[in-house]
Amino acid sequence: MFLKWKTNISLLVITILVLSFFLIKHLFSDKTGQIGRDNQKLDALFEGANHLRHFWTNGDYEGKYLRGEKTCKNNFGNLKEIWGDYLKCNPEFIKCILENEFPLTIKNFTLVPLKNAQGNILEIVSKSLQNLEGAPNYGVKMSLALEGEIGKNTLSFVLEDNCQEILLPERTYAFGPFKMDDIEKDFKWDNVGRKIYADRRMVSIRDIIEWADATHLENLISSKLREDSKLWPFPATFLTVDNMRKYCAFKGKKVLSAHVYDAFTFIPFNLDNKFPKRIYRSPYPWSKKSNDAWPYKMKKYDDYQITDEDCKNCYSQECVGKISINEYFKESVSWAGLFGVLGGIMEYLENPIHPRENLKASSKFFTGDSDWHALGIRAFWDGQGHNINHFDFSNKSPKNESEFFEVGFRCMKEIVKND
Amino acid sequence: MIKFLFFILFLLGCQNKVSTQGFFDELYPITFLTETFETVWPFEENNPISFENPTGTWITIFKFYAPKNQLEDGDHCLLYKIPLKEGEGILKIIKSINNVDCETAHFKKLGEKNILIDGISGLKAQLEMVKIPEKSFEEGLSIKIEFFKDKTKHAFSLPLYNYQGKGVGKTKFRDLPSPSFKILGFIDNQISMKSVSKPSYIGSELDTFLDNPESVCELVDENCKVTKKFDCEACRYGVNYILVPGCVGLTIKYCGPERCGYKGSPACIRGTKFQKNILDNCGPVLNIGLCQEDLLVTCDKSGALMCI
Repeated sequence: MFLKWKTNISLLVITILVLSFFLIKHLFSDKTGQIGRDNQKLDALFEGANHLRHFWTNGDYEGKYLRGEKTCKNNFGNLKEIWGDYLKCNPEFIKCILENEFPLTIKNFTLVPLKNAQGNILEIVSKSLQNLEGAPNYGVKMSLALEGEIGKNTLSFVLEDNCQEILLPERTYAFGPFKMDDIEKDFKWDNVGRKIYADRRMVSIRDIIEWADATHLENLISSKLREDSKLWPFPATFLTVDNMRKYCAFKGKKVLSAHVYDAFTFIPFNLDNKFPKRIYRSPYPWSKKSNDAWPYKMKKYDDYQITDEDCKNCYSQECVGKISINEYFKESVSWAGLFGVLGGIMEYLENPIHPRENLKASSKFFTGDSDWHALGIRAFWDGQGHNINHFDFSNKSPKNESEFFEVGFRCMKEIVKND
Repeated sequence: MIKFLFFILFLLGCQNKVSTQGFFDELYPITFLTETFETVWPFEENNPISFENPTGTWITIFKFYAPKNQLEDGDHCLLYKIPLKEGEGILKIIKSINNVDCETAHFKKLGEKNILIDGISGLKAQLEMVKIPEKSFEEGLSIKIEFFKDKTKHAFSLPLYNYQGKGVGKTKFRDLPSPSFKILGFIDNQISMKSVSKPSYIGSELDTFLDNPESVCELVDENCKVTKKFDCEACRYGVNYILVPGCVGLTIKYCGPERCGYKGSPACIRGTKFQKNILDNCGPVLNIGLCQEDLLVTCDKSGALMCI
C-alpha cells in the first residue's frame, strides 16, 4: 500500500516537472525575429551563392582580374585587352572565382564548392541536354557546402545566362536601307507587346566549344582553337548556317533576323515619337548625318585619311594592322546596344522577306570606300562553306579575295504574351 | 492513475504546437526555397494587410510552391484562424500537400506535417523589397509578418531568395529584375534533391508547326479563346508564335526552333499596329505577316497565318 502510494507520488512529481518544463518553455519562448542556427547556415550558403552570382552577372565588377591584381589559372590571355563583358555569364570565369575566392567565410561558416559525380565543379544545364526540372534554356549548376558538413548542408543552384541579351525598345521600325524617293513605300513593322531580345555580341568561339562538347560535335573545333584560349573571346566565324541554327536552338533562341538587326542599328531620328509615319535613317550607326560619317567622306575625297577613331566605328580593310580589332569590339556599339555592327566580321542574318540578302557583308574584307559599309545593305551567302564560291557579292567582291571568308552570327529570342 | 498520466504525456508528445521561434524556423526554409506563391490577398509593396474578418474562420495567407526537383514533393500553406476574441488566433503551417487547396488540406487534415502557434492576435503581413542578402546592393522580395502574442509584439522577415517573379495571384507588385539565379535545392536532413527528374521537355530540333501538332502549347479557337495545352516553359528549343488574324494580340504558341517566313512555315509577326484593322478572319490576305517575297501569306484551317 505504502509502495503504491509512493509510486503514484513519484509519477505525479515527474508529471508536474514535465508540465512545468513545457510551460516554462512556452512562456519564455523567443520573441525576437532572429533566425535559428540551422537557418543561419542556409543564409550563409545563400550569401555564398549570391557572391558567385555577382561575378556571373557583372563579370569582374571590382576590376581586380582586369587590372592583373588577381589571376586565373585557366588562361584568358591578357584580360586588359579584351572587353569586360566577355567575363559576364562566363563559366570559365566562375571556375576561376571558385578556385580563387573559396573556401569563403561568411557569418562564421566556411563555404566550399562541391564537385559533381564526374568530378566537375560546374555543370552546364540546358533543356536540350538534361531533363532536370526547372532548368533554364542554358545555365551553369554548382553546389556549395559548409566545411565539415558536406552531404548535410549543401545548396545547389543554377545561374542562368542572360547577360548578353538586350531588349529592343517597343516602337515602329523600318526594314532595309533608306530611299528618299521611295519613303512612302518603306516596309514598316512594330514590336508593340512583344519582347524581342538580341545578343549584344556575336557568338564567341568559347560559346561554340562549350556547345560542341556538350552536343557531341567536337569535330567542329580545330585543335588550334581548343588549345589557344586567347582566341576564345572572338566571334566564331567557321560554322555553316545549319550549325548556327542548331546552336541558337540549343539556347532556346533563333539566329538574328535582318529586320530585327535593322531595328537595333538604325538610329531613330526622334526617340520621343515611337510610331512615326516616316522613318528617316542614316546608313551609319554612329551618326544621324550620313555626310559626316567617314565611309561617306572616303568615297567623296580621294585623300581622306582614316583615323583610329574611324576604325573603332567601322573596322574596314585599312584598319587591319592600324588598330587592334579588340578596340573595335570594345567600342563599336549601336543606339540599342549591339556591338560590331559595321565593319569587322561579316554576319549571317535570317531574312524573312528577301532570302538573297542574308549577309551583312560590311567587314575587314572591304576597303572603307566600299558600298557594303552601310546599314541595310546585304549580300548573299549560301551558308554551306566559306570560300568565294559560296558568296554572292554582286559586282562588289572584295579586292583581295581570301581563301576563307569568316562569317559570324548572333541569336535572338522573342516573347509574346496572350493577355 | 498510471494510465492517466501516460495519456497526458502522450498528448504532450503528439501536439504540434511550437514556440514562436520554432514556428518561424520551420517556415524559413519553405520561403527560402519557394519559387512561386499564391495568395488571394491584394498585397502591394510596403502596404501591410490586416486579417480581421471573418472572425473565427481559417484563411489561407500564402500557398508556397517548392522547386519541382525537391524530393519532398508538394506545396506548403500558411493559414491563420482569425480570432473571435483577442489572443485566440492560430497560425498554422501545413507541409507537403499535392493538388489540393490549403483550406481543404486543413479540414481534411492532409499534409505530412502540421505546425502551429496559438494565442495570436493583430496579425499583419506585407510584401517588401529588402536588401538580399543584408548589406547587398540588390533588392529582393521578402514577406514580413507581425502579430501580438502574450501582449508582446513579434515581427519576422522571411526573404524569398528563390522567388522567380511569377504567380503572385492578386498581388499588385512592381516588375522584379529578371531572375538569373535559381536555387535547385538544399540538402539537409529534411529536404533532399532529386538527382535527375522525369523527362519533361517537349520538342525536337526538327519540329514544325505543320508536322507536329503535339508541339502546340497554346491554341486560339474561333472565338478568340486561348486554350493552354501545357506550359510553354516546357519547350526544349524555345517557343514560336503564329498570328491568328481574327484575334488581335493573340498568337498560337508552339515549341521548336522553326524559323518564320520560309515556305510552309508560319508568317513572321509584323506587329500590332498592322493588325488593328483586320476585322474578319483570313480575308483577302494580308499584310499583317511577313513571308519571303516569292511566297503568299495565307491562313490555314486553324486560322494560323502561314507562308505558302
